[in-house]
Amino acid sequence: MAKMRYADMPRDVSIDNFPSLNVSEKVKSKAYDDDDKLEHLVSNTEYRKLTTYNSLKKHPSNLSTPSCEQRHRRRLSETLTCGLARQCKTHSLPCNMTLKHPYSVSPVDEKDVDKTKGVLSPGILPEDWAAQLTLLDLNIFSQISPEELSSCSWNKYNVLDQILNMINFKVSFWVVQEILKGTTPKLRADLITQFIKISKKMYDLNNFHSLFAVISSLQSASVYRLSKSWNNVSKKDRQSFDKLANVFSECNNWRNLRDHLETLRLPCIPYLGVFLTDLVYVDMAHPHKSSGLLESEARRLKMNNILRVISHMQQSRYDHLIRFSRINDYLNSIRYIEELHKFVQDDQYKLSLKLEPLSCQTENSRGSKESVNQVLLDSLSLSPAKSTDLMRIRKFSLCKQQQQKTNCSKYRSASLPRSFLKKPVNQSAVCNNNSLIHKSDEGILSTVNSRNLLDDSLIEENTLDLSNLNLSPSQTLKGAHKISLESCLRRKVVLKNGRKPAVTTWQRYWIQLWASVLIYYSPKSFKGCNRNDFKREPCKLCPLKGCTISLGDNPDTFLIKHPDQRNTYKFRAESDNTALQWYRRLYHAAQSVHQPDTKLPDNLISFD
Amino acid sequence: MNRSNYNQNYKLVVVGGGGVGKSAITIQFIQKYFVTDYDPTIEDSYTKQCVVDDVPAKLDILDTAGQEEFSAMREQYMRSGEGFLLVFSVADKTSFNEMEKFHRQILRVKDRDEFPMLMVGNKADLSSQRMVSIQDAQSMAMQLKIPYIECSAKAGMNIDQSFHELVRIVRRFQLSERPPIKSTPPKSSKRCSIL
Repeated sequence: MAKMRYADMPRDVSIDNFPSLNVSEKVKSKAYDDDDKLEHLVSNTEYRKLTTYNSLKKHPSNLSTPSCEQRHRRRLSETLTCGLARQCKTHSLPCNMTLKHPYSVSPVDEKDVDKTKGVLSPGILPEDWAAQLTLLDLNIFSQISPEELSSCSWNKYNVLDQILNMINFKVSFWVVQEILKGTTPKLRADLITQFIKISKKMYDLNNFHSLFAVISSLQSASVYRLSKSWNNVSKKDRQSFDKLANVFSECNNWRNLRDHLETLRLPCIPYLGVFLTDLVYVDMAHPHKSSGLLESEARRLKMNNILRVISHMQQSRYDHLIRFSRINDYLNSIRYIEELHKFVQDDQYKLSLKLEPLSCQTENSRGSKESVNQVLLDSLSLSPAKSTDLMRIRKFSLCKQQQQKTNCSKYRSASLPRSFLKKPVNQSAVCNNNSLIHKSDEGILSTVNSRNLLDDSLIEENTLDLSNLNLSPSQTLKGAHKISLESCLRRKVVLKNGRKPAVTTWQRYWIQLWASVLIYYSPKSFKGCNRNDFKREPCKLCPLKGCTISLGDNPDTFLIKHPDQRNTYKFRAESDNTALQWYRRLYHAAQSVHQPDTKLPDNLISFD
Repeated sequence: MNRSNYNQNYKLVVVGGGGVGKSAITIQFIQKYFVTDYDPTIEDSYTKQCVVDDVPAKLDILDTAGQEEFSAMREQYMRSGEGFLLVFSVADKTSFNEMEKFHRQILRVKDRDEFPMLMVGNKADLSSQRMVSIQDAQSMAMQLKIPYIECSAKAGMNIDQSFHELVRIVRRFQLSERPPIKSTPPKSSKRCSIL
């Protein structure tokens, strides 16, 4: 009898679709949408049922009473089964077990899908979602007949396959839609995480059909580009996502997926797409001869090989999973019209753009420049061993802003590995060199706010290894970019962060003015003012943006003031003349940076 | 220009609606003579070594024939492609009209204003059933700013040319994208010319 009830379940649910046992909660809770009034009306009936149920529990002998109560009871048992399922699932009891004693355990309510929260509805675990999707898939997958597949004409006319695709579309559409519902990056990250968890569960269930749908939706243009949201996803989850995505890598003719399928045991719902492609190719390589009655041997053999695998998988049973009618209803209620797919996708993309607009970097760049940027970054081999930890930390903290921007480009790029920016070492490399990379044809450095260089983070015997930069100053000599002035200068801190330091000393540097940036070279020895006495690699860069240049008290000195940083440095040249020359050049350089908008060429990447 | 710096593996993706003959083009290109032995499930069934402009190249061709209906998954495999063949059938107006959609989708996934693509009009041998004129196709190609070529998988016409042309486009694109910087590090070591 119990079995029969269970079999009746879906029809019963779809007919009256009552929100059942957590009704008492529902009465208390606030209304979510217009339908709620109706639900309140319903809930009275439900409440009555609940009391009926309680009385039944007190008098189990009444169970057999054949009456109008029977329908109610059936529904109750359903709910109980579902509730029980949640409890028993972990012990992987077969569903029949729970059905034998439907009334002996207190009801564990199957949580309603909260329309506003969707996939994050409280009380619904990732495994529940995975299980329900799997059951939906299995139902359709098991109905596909080999004839339909071998005919190779499923593209447009085959009804079953259309249904199959519908599910796939629906899942993809649902995933993207749900994620885009998140209003903040944090919320979207939660949603992404939830879907990754669901994916993991589906992987465990061997449901590759929906798994692929979810994984590819997470990689769709609308979701993949949400770098802010992805940054909020924990590293662990991102790793498991990468792992799952790797299963569906199309590399080597879907090698990973094929290998994985071979090691599997039933139950399993495969991703049919690969089989379909194989079938198309067999059909193409061994065309069906219209003249002869018999198919060619090779065609038959190869077709059969594929069909055998599919039909083997069609024997899959997921009996240990229990249908949750409400999640099912929710999933079925996702409306999706295939014809509108294109428009839906466009809308989703627009929404995605609205949620996280393209960064200014993208707006300013031609796209192609961006990859130059990447390649440059790739080629930078700032050896991590050389840089001290302290420095790394400092750079790391200072360049968070830039990091954010670089991350944007990361997710949009195909060539850069995902893990590229996860390494802090590389991050420091990125920001160390941002200022170098953004070089215009005229030799004007873009006005990068590389603050790490503006603060007086003077590092003695600097470990910054810029030798491998292909934009090293020597090369600029070869090119159109000229170093307008270079000489040995002594520098002293006057103000640092608005305060006068207790002790200041004159430091010797070889300084070059390159466009609007000062390049510092630290000394090799204690004496000497020739270029030979300084290191070949620059130790720091200092853009002159916003700087005020003034002459010092002594005729051989001049001052550079960084107003935003409230830092002031005093420089001392070897002669009055040199100081004056420096002052003029610096003044012009700083001036030219003051109106960058008019001067910057189109193809210059600006970080402002 | 020293081409040996460049990675000579190319991932090419064939896109297009159902029934335009994508698989026919791919199979023609890969297995010209030994179609009878063809096994679509093995690892290298979609790779081919060839020489384009005297430079050898290994082509990895991804064709998702039969999966057209799984359009939601398209973006995933588009992401890894380095060059795209946009295939339509000159005997099928709908497939031609889809070209713009594919073009936009690729640019969106790549987040670029341009990307190596070649529009291919297949079934050019069916002159009696032609629904898309060369002029229409060319003007569409102009509009999308990609080159256009007509071919026939059945007659084996322009198949190799299509793939080779795409390789050239990809090469040109990669050349403009990345100056051959790999050769620069040795130069930078003898950098004392400042003095």
